[in-house]
Amino acid sequence: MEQQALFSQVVEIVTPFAKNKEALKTVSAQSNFLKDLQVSSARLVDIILAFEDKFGIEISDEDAGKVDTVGAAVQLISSKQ
Amino acid sequence: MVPPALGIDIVDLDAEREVPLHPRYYSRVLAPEERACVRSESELWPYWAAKEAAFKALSALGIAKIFSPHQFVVSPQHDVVRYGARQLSLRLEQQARYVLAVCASSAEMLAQVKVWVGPAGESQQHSQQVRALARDQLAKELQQPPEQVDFNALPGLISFSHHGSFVACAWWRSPDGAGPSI
Repeated sequence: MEQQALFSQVVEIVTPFAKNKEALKTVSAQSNFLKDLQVSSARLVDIILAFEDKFGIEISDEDAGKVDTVGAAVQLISSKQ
Repeated sequence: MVPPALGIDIVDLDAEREVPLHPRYYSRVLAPEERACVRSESELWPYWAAKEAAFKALSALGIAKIFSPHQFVVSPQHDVVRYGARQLSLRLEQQARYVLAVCASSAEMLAQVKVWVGPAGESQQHSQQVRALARDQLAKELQQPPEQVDFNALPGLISFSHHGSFVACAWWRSPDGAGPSI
């Protein structure tokens, strides 16, 4: 899958959990889930599970811990497809 | 025995109601022995807060490097969190709008921990707000002007948390001036 399409799908999954809706308007690969998008750490679990469902992959807790930005999520998913 | 360690976590119960939890959330974060004790979201969040607080305490010591929630096991009495062979004492406080968990190395240490909870305010800068709360409270504890409170040179351990409408801070004053744990 093209990186841009993957990026859009990641943002779509993250959107309901982002408390900072303004930051979503300028979301980029560098956007940090916790600091910029204001996703709570508890709901990062939902996002990881949604990635697993959507892309048919498994994400370990070790990998999940490294997914701090939208770009990191795109890279991780891309590497597992 | 774990060296002095401290961790706090607060969960705003109103902040996460809009979007339902993923169906596999419980099996992802809970240990098998915990699942029988947790049947609803209201029962889940104390477990989550306890696991996060324990991870903060042990990661500050370099003992836990990866947050694998199911590896932090909360006792049925909600007074202990186990991580492998390690064990932390746990204090859980459940209010109408939030759940607060504090973990420390021992029950004796936990009894000495002071906890402050405040409103997060409208700003998005919650990490700054929790430090402002801590600075004001520590100024009273240490009998110093707030501007002289240095989080990197405290005579004890401190831990911060913020979520939704709340910020929280835990503070333990050590007799020998151990370094910070954030």
